[in-house]
Formats: sequence, C-alpha cells, structure tokens
Amino acid sequence: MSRAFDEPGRGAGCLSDLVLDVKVAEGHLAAPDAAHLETCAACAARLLVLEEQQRIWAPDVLRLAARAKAHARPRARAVWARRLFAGLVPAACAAAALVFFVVDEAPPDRSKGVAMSLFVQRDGEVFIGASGDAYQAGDAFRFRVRPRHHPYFMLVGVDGHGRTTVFYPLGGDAAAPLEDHDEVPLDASLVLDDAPEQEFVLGVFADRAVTAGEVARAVAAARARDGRLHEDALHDVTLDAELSWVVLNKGARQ
Amino acid sequence: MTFEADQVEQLCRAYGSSILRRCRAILKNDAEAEDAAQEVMVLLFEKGQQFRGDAAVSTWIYRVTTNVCLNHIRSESRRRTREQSGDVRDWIEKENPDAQRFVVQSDVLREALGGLSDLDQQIFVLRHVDGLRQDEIAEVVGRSRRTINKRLKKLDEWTEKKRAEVPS
Repeated sequence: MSRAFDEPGRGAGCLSDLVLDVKVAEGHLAAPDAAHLETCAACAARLLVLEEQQRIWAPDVLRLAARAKAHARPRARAVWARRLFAGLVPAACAAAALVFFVVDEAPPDRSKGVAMSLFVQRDGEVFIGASGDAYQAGDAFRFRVRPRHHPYFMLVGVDGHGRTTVFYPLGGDAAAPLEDHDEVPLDASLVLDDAPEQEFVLGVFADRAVTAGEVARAVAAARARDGRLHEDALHDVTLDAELSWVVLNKGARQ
Repeated sequence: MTFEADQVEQLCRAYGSSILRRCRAILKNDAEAEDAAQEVMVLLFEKGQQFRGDAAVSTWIYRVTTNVCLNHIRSESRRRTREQSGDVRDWIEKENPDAQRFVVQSDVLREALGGLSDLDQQIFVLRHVDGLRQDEIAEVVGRSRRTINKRLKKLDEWTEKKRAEVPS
C-alpha cells in the first residue's frame, strides 16, 4: 500500500495538527481542546514533536522569513498608487502613470539558497529523510544537492566532538567542482555506524576549492567549551562558503 | 483585521515550523519544501494587508501553504526533479528492487493529483497528508461541510481506484 494514501494515524477525538499548530504558535487552545490534551497521551506526545520541530527549525524559519520579507512586493504602495491613478483628472494621467509604473515594478528575483535532500535506505525500504529524524546504525544515505551558483562543493561528516570526515569528494582534501548547478545527485552513499552520538552532515558550497583543513578548523572553533558540537553552533561556523546540513540522531534499532 | 509587515514577520516565526513541516510532507523533498515555505511567507507578506479576518489565521496559513505546494507539484520544475530522481532510483535498484517500488509509490501523490480539480487536490492533501476532519477541511478551503462530505465520498472512490493501479 502506498504511503501517499495512508492517513496520518490519529485516534478518534484526538486533536489535529491544525489545532496543535495553534498551540505551538500562539500558546493557547480552545477550552475543550485543552481539556482533551490534558488527558490524551497521544496528543501530548504529538505536541512535543511539533514543539521540538519549532525549536530545531527556528534558524531555518528565521532565514526563510528574512528572505521572504526582502522579496515580498510592496503591495500596499502599489494599491495606493493605483487609487491615485484612478482619481486623477485626464490631464494628470501621464504623471500618475509614471507613479504607477514606478511603484508597481516587477518583483525582484526570488533567489533561493543552497540545499541538500536526503534519501535513506533501511531494511530494503527507501524513504526521504529529514534533518533531526532518528536513524539507525546500518541506514544508508544518499544526498541530492542544489549548489546555486557555487561551483565547488564538499560533503563533510562531523561527529559530536567536531571531528570531520570528507565524504565528497570521497577521500579528497578540498571542495570539488560540480558539473551541474541546478540539482545534483551525489554518487557516494554513506552508511551510519553504531557510535551512539549525534552526527552532522555538512554541505559546503563555495566559490573556490575550500580545503578540508579550513572546514575542520572552522567547525572546531564552533565547539562548546566541553568540546561538544551542538547544532546551534553550526550557525556560528565562519567559513568562506555557504553551509547546509542535516542532523542524524541515532535511535535504537527496532 | 489586517497584518502589517512586522506582524507578518511574527506570524512567519510562529507558524514557520508548521509551514515547513507541511511543505515537506506534501512535496517530500527538503530543498523544494524550503523553496515552497519561502514562497508561502512571501505571500503572507504580500497578502497580509488584505487578510480580512473572516477565517482563523491558522486556517489561512494552511490554505496558502497547500496551494503553494500544489502549484509546485503542478509546475514544470516537477518534471525536472522527477527525471533527476531517476539517478536515485538507479542506486536503489542495484541494491534492492523492492525499494524502487516504494520510491515510485511515493511519487503517486504528485502524479495522481493530475486527475483532480484544484479543490479536490486541496481536499485530498488536507485529508490524506494532514489527516484533518471534515469540519476542519471545510474551514480551511472555505466550503460547507456538506460539500466536503460529498467530495470526500467521490475522492474515496477515486483513491481506491488509484490504489488498485499501484503496481504490486
């Protein structure tokens, strides 16, 4: 049976994500929903997942919101200009038209950033993975990357202590040029080991052949005082490149 | 009730993870989901001053997100992405033929949606991806519950037919 047609599992009377999203976003629920949440373990567990997603994705959300704000058309000014245009006498039409066209100009280029997609193979089944999900030892991963104008790319594994391993170009010591600048499926597949700690896979998109040493030093500098690397610290990595990453949380094998 | 830019920015932060999660669930591609989420936020900024408050903010954002994702599925870029996913299938096929079938099935949603009206596509996503109840779907798409009930019955028949078409 296709997963595409399977409805999300939810008990009768349980709260939908539509309701729980309001709780996550605005902190409140209607009284009957709040009462249900207090007594329903499934809904409480789902709420925790949504809250955790909000926490983990907060940097991505901030970045997307900032880009969206920058790229949104100045709609209100255009509407104002059209009203002005409609109200002017014919003799003023030429001047009004100038105002209209100036404020209603074409939207700016909605450029999009670099990104990585994750494919996972587990026990003979393949699915599309997401950063922050729990994975198991033995899971195999492949990546598709979108470099967006950056001609060089390096895929680096980073363990919880900040130790780095170059996965692409495999065994290489510097970022390699990518032939396609739209979306590129990478050749190499990775298999997760059984070390218990969280791991990160870092996509380094650069305009030059950034070296593995530069990446290792930048990641090391972002570690916390206890020597551990936390996801939040990846935002502070200073490198002459644009970064994207996925977090691989390791869960117990079923 | 309308939203100024600062308020929309707050909305984007508050509902951003919901937008991103739904884009990922519908499009099943992180990179594309980020693009779609950004588009949703752009629309919130552009349409915020036209929001009349005749629906809850959450349902408005669900509606915009659903429509943006469906537009992505309909767009030309979908074809290109599917072609590229052939490389991934090659990898999968070498290691496990059954896995290839799964990937083909995960594309069923986007391919099958081609046979539905815009409204039915929205209802399908809200029902089968989000798992919403009839009254919630009615609220999001702005139609009566009776209309949703009727549409869902037809969609269920259509879904069963599509299930039968999935290769076993």
